Amino acid sequence: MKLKDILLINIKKLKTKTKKALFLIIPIFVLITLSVILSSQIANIQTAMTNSVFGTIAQKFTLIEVQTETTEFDPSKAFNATSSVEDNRFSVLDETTIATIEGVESVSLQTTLPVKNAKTTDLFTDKTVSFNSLSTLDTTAAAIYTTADFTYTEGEAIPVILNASALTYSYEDWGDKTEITMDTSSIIRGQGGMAQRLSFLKTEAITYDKENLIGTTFTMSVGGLDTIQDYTMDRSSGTMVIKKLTDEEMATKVEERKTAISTYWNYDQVSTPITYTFVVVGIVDDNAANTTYVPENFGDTLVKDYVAHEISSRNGTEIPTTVLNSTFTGVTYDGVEVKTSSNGMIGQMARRFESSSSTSGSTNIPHERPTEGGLGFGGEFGSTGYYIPGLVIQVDSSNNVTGAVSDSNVYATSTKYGDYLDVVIDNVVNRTAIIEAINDAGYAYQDTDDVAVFDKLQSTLNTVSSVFMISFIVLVSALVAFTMSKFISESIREIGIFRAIGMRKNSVLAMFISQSLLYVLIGYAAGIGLGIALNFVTGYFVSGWFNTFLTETVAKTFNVVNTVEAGVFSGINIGSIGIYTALLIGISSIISIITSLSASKVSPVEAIKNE
Amino acid sequence: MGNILEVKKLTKKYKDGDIEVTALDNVSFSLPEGFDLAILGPSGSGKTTLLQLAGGLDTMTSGDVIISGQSIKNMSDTEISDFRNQTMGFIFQMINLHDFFTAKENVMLPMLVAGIDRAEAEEKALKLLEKVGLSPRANHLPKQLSGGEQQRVAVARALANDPKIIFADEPTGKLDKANSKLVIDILESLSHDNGMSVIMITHDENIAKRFSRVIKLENGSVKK
Repeated sequence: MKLKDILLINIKKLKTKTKKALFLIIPIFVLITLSVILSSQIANIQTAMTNSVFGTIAQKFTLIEVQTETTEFDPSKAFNATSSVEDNRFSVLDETTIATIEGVESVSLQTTLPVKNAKTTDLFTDKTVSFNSLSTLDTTAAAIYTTADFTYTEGEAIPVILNASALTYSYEDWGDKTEITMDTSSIIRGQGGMAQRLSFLKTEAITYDKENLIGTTFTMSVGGLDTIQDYTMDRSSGTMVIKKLTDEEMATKVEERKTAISTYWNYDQVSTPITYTFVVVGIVDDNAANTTYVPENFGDTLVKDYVAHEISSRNGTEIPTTVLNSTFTGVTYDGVEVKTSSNGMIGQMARRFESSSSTSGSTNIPHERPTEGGLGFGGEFGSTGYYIPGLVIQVDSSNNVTGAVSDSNVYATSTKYGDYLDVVIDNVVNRTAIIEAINDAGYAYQDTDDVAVFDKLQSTLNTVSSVFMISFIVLVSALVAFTMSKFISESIREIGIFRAIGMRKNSVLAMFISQSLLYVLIGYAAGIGLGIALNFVTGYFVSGWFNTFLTETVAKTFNVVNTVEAGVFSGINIGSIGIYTALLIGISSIISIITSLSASKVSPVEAIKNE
Repeated sequence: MGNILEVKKLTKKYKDGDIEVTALDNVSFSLPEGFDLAILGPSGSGKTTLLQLAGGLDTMTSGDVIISGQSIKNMSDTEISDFRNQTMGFIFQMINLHDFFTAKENVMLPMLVAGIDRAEAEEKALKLLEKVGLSPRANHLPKQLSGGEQQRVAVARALANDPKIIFADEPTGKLDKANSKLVIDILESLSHDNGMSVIMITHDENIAKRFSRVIKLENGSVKK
C-alpha cells in the first residue's frame, strides 16, 4: 500500500473524528505554547541579565579574578605581611595550572609594571590624574572590558582601560593656616587611617561621562622625580604638629636633591618623564585589582623605554654601590626578577606603607631619613633616598647591591610575577563549577555576594528550565501513549477489517504511527504559532517584573544598573524551540512506534467477530 | 476443472482457561471452480471458525486449506495478507464499513491496499457502486446509508479486486427480508458474471437452497 494513501486515510479520519483527535492535539498544542514562551523568556531574562544588569561590563561574569592570598593587614607587622604576599605571587606556572581546568578559556597573569609616577594632565581639564599602577592585560581578558583591539601598534595611540577608582585627583588645602595640630590619640589604628585624617589632604572623585571618555586620546607621562613633601610632622605624646614648609625651605630641599642627583645623572633629563599617547578603550567599574590596564605587548616596551631613559641620563660618573638602595632608590634585579623593592615601591604597596608607617609608631621603619621622606603625595615615606625613575639596581642572592644595571632589556628578559590571574571562562553557567575546580587546584577564591545574586537567579532559571523540560518529556510520553492506546483499543474492529482486506502489518503500523505524528504536528504547529504570538504579550509583563527586580533588588548590590528595554523580552529563542521540537518529535515517534506495534498485532479475526 | 477450495482434515483447537475446546474437528470437503457453497449449522457448530480458517484470517491447529491450488498453511503474514487482498473477498454479518470513508472510498480501499492508483481505483469503485445500484450514494458516509445500502457497499468492496472466492458470514443476518433478497440477488448475479465462487454461512434453509453445494456443520464436524 502506498504511503501517500496511508496518510490520506489519516486525514479522512481526522476530518470525521476531529473530537477524538483533539484529545491529543490540544494538550500538545498547550505544551508547545508553554515551551515556546517559557524557554524564550528564560533566554530573554538571561540576555537581559548579561547585557543590561551588568551594563557596562557585559561579560563581567565570564571573568574570575584570582588574587594572591593576602594576610589580614597588621600595621605592626607591615614588612612581614609584604613578604608573605610576595611568596605567594603568581607566575606563568600558575597560569598553566589553571588553564587546564575545563571551561577555562584563557588565563592571564596581570603583571604590574615596575614604573612610577604615571599621570596625565590633559584627560580632564585642570586636573592631574595619577595612575597608581599600570598592569598588562592580554587580549582575551581585555575583551571583558572593551570591544576594541587591545594590542599595541607602534606609531598609533596605545589602547588603555582606565580604572574608575583611579579617576580621582588629590590636592592640599591648608586654608589660611601653615600649621595644623592633630590629636593623634583618636586615630584608629589601621590601614589608611592617618592619610584620611590629615585634613589638608583632599581627594576627590572625578565625575566622568563614560560614553564621552571612551575614544578620548590623552598624553600620559611616566617617570620623573617624586613630588617633594612640602610639610614636616612633629610628634609628641598625643599630638602631632604638621607644619607647611616655607618657599625657601622647599627651594632648599629641591636644590639638595638636584645636587645629589647631578653627581651621577643629567638632572634635567632624568627628571623629565617619558610620554605616550593613549586612547581610552574601556573603563573598569569594579574589579579587585584597582589598576589601569595597558596591552600585554606594550609592557616590555614601556619598561624598556623607562629604563633606557635612566641609562642615557647618566653623566658617566660611576655610581658607587654604597649609594644604591640608600641615597638613590629604584627597582632591584636579582638576576631573575625585576622587583619593586621595599625601597622603591610603587602603587598600592607604597600606599600601604604610607599609611601603616604613620600609625605604627614606626618601629620597623628606618628613622634615618636623608632629605626626602615623611607622609605625602608621591612622597617616599619609608624610603631612605631619592627615587630615580628607571634605575635598576642589581643585587645578589643575599640582597647585597652589586651595581646599577646598564641593559635596558633587563625587564623583558626577567621572570614576571603578579598578584592577579585573570581567568576567562566560556560560560557564566559554569562559573560555580570552575570556581570549585580553581579552589581544588589550591587557589583561594570566593565569589562576592553580588555574584551570588546573579548565580542564584541563574540557577533558579536553570532549575525552572530543567523541571519544565523533564515535565515536558514525561507529559508528551504519557499523552501520546495514553491517547494512542485509546485510539487503538477503540479501533480493533477497524484494524481487523483492514487486515481482512489484506493490509499488511507494516502498513497498519505506518498508519497508526503517522496518525499520532500527524496529530502531534498539528498541535505543534498551532502551539508554535500561538507561543510566538503570546510571547510578545508575556514579554511585556516579564519586562515589567524584571525592571522592578532590577530597581528593587539588584540595584541595592550593584552600582551600575541599567533598566532593560521591553523589546529584549519579545525575543524568541530559536535554539530552545529547536530542542523542544526535537524532543517532541523524538519522544512521540518512539511512543507511537511502541503503541502502534500493538495495533499491527490485531488479528484479522477481529473483523468477523459478531457482537 | 480443478477445485477452487479444498479443505483437508481441518482442525482448530483453542484454550478457554484450562479447558481445551475443539472448535473444528477433522473437517474435509472440496468445492470445484464455478460452484457456490452454503454452510449451514446452528450457533457454536463451528461455521464461523471454518470461514476464518478457510479465509486465512486465523491459524489452523492441523490440516490444510488449498485455495485455487495454493496451500495457505505455511504462508507468512505478508504472503497471506497479499493473497487475501488479491484472491478473496469478505462480507461480514456486522456491517463492517469504515465510518470515516464514503461509500466510494470504502470500495476503493482493497484496490489502494493492492497499490493501484487512486484514479483507477476510483473509476472502478464507481462502476461497482453502479452495479449494486448505489451510484447516487457514492459520496455518502456509512452513517448516511441504510443497513441494506451499507451491505451492498460491502458487496462492492468484496468484488473490488476481482477475487476468485468470496467469503460471506451471514451477510443478511441483520437485514429485513426485502433487503436480504436484494443483497443475495446482487451477490449471486455478480459472482456468476465474473466466475467467482461464493461461500456463505447462513442459518436460512431458503437461502441455502439457492447454492449449488451445501454442507451442514454440527459440533465442529460435517454432518452427513
